[in-house]
Amino acid sequence: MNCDLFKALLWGYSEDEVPDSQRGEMEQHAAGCEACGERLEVWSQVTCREVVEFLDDYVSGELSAERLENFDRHMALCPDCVAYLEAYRKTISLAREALPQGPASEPLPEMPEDLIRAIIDANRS
Amino acid sequence: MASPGQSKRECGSQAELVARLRSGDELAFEELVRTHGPKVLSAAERILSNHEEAREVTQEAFLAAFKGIQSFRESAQLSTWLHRIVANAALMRVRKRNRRAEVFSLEDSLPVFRVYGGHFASPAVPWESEALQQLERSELQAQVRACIARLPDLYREALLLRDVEGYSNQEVAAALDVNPTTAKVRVHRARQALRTLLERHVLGDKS
Repeated sequence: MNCDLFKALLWGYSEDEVPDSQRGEMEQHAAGCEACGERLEVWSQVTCREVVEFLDDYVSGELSAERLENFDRHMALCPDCVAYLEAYRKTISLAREALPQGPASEPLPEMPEDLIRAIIDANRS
Repeated sequence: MASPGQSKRECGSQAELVARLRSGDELAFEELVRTHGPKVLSAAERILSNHEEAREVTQEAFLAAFKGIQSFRESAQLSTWLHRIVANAALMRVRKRNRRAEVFSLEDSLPVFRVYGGHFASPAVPWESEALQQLERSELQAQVRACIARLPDLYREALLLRDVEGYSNQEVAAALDVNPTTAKVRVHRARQALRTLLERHVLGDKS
């Protein structure tokens, strides 16, 4: 097994979705490869699924120190989760920009009297 | 959700106004429209970029607010509550707009030339890059609004409260009358769904 295949199967390994025969091969590879060994250790603490599930806590800084460390280690090794996190953050800021409440200093439009009357009349009817 | 600088007097007058609205006082409704109308109209105009539609949505929002005043929570601010109502109504309008087939006349979009001399009937204006950036920004915002409008109601509400109004999870939970865990999950799911919808626009054919 090479590192690319190991990385591709890692998600399935941590979710118990890799057949036993391949699990053995992965463990064997991890024992001889420092980088993949670290990956296996990190993934056994936090999987990609968990990162995505707890992304709000991660973004809001609500994870415990220990959990945060595991998340950070996972992020350092997982470009997919980093890409997901960046897009998630961007989504929040895009939503905010698309529906701004407007700064308090911004001059408000005049509320036309005919519109006020129309609303009041519609409410009466 | 009272703002830090909000005085007791303001809280008191809001409670009084809400009580009058709840009793069906028409003068209270007029006061609500006059006080909050400009902010509601401005929010509708920002979302819709169309003056006529913004007026209609403002009216819809106030009628919905009057009808739904019983569900208003005293711990909230009338202005944020109204903003949520108008943002929702405007997004529904966006959703309807997107469903309508876009009628576009190709003929009307072709340049017109003078009969004699073959010059442009109206001068061709250079597109400044700043104007193009502005267009890109406003188009992106329109796309984002269209995507938010597509979210299921429960999730859109949660997203509006948390990410647009800036409520905490606890406040979202109180406003939606659900437990904090449910509120948190809804916000997260809404962001994930919105992210996926936006991705199709961001990546285009690559997604």
